Amino acid sequence: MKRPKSVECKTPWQRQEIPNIGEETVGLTFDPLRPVRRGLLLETAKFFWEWGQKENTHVRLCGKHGVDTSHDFFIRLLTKDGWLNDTNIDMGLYLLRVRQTIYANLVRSDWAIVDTLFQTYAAIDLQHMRLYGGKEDRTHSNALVKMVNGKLPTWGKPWSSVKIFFMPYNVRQKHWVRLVLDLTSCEIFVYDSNIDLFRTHILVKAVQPLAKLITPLLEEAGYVGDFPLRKGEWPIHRVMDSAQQVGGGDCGMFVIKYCDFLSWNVELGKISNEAMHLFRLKLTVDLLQGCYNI
Amino acid sequence: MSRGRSDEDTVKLKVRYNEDGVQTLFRVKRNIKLQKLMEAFCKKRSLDPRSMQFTFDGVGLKKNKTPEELGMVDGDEIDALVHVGGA
Repeated sequence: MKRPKSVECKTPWQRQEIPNIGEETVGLTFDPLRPVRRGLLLETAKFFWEWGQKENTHVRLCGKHGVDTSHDFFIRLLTKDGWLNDTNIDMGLYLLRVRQTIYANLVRSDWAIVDTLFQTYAAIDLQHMRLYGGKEDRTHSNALVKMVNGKLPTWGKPWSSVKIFFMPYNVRQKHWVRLVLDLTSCEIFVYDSNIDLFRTHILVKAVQPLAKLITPLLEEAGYVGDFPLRKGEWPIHRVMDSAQQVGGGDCGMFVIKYCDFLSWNVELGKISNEAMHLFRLKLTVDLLQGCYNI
Repeated sequence: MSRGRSDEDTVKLKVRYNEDGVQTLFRVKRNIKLQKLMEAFCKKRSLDPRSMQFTFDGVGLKKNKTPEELGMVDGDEIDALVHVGGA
């Protein structure tokens, strides 16, 4: 039987200008624990109740550059300890990139973020390399080169213009960690919200293909940085004192919050496991509005 | 009069499944919505469409776009990627 066509469901905030940062808020410090307005929460709850009644509908998040999301997207996001998938993480990071571009005077500018597709394309690239006999002079995936040059993802920045970049990385298809690639020292730092899950050598082995790929890729993309590139594999360091989750399920949210807090120079110690369900709610509201409430 | 599709109306696209690297070739009309192609691929490979995302040149494909709108030409490769999650 033919499946009925999915119809777009409009959010109450679609095509509205959201007064996110007004004159009165500019200059204030960012408070990551600032609560979402009660009225906004009620509107969100009402929207979800109404959307839940409609079958075969989807919501377009963040305008034309965003994605069409089904109920499942928000179920994953709003369920306490719910596993986030790549789409959830990409949309969370998308908002950070928008915020960095729009509020350039408020947010640190020396970083860039790639989305989960970087890891996927890097894996495809490595498959090609094996077919190519491991020779170094092959051409890399066009998508990866575009990411280095800031043409992808949307609102991306050229890596030549930044000192560090953040990358979500999935280990063994069951755990998200965040990688920080320091372009000044050519090192990779792994922020893991559950350090008991994998031993360090397993984590290093998982990240190693990327560590080998990065220098040839940057050279091919014509990367020109302030510091010379390391020849060969980049060293990988595991950060042992990063904020930790309790139980399973929140690693994806930790990845988003690590990037969020670092981009504002907020202490990572403020990422509290107890507040994670509230961060999930806040991210939901922000995604529906298509902007980042500070 | 021939009822077959002429080469000008159609485009040959490769869909590459990232789990095994196998490519599947499709010949589709230039003005057909890519949703049809995605569904056909998932059916052929017995995959759940909800667990898949499709990208072209590093950009996520929208279901309601057509090959013509995206400027696709013969031999272009679409990547079929499995969503990954983590806890």
